Amino acid sequence: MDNTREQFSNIYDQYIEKIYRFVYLKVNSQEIAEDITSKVFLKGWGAYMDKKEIRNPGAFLYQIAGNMVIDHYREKGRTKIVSAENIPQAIDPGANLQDMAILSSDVNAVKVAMQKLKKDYQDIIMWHYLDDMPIAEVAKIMDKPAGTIRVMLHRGLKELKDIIQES
Amino acid sequence: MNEKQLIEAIKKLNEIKPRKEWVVFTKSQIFEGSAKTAVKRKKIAKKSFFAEKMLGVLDIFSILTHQKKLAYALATLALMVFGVFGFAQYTVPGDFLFSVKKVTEQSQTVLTGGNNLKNNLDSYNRRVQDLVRVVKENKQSNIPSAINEVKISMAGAVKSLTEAVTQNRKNIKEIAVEVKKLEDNKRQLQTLGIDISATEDTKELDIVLAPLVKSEINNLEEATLTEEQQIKLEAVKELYDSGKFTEALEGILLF
Repeated sequence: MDNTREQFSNIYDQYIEKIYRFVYLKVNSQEIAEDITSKVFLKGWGAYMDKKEIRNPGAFLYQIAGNMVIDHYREKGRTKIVSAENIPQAIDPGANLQDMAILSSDVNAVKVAMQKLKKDYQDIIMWHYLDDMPIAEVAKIMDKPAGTIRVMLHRGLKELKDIIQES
Repeated sequence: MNEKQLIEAIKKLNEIKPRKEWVVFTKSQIFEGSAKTAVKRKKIAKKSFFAEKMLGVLDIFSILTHQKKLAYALATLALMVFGVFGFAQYTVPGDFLFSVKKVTEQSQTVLTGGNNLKNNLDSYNRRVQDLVRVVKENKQSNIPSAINEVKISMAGAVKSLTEAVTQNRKNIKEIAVEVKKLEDNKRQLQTLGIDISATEDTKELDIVLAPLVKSEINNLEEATLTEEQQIKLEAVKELYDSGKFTEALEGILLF
């Protein structure tokens, strides 16, 4: 029990920021991101408690997080497609001022644009550039060949750039 | 914005971080929740344990109950058996449970030991007492059975006594005492109007006793006797001559 707790405690420390960010960039709400992220880790801990074999904790947590975000949108009947006109409303009103201050206008533009990307492109870009995840590992999580991931990454960046330019 | 600038901007999204207090709080909540769950699980397990223990206790109770039932059954059986055996002791020949009484007596005889002659004589005495009781209580239907039992027991006693005489296991006085008991019983029955006629066994005893009595008479004749003893000796001789060897032997006892 203590060993499992210690293991999961390490995983929590390692992934809490990543998962939170992953969720936040999809839901664009601090409150919702915190809520979903806490549920993700709670579920992950539950799986650990049940002695389920988890070979890749990161992939496992991202999978839970992705599913929970989907569930969140399903439940709320919300769409993650945000039009350029509604960008100001899309910014989380609950986001703290510090976050807002940290993010420069360019970064904020990227953040908003990220939400318009296809889910797969979002995930690949976030994992590879934000979490410094190697292509091979992303490929493993996505269950796709590394070459496909490279192509998707390239296309994702291009699409993101286009969105930013359009906005 | 070129690709490099875009990637730089993307990487700056790393600055998005959860609140530290939320991170710590969430972590504690997760583990606390799990601890509560663990406690609940432990409680459930404990309850299950106690439930199992209780079931175990109930099983023991159940077993004990069964054992109690068994004990009650055994006790009842024992009471019944003791009751039957106890009641059987008051039976007389011809009664339903008289065979139980005989079995009990035989068991007691085996357990207490004792020689065959003594046991047979005791048995004979008991059967005589049974017959006396049957007569006194006027149990007409039991009289034939009681007489038969007396005859059977007497045969056993006489046979044992005959064996003792022929094997010289007893001296003349001891034999005379036992013979006297037989005769006393016989007389007791005669006073009640019951005559146990001579059997083959009694005749055999007489045959065995005859030389013994004769030998004793000869010894007494050679001995110096008082006048009173001379009279007694004459009476013994008369009994011997009339074939009443047992009575003659009784007379010898008076010397």
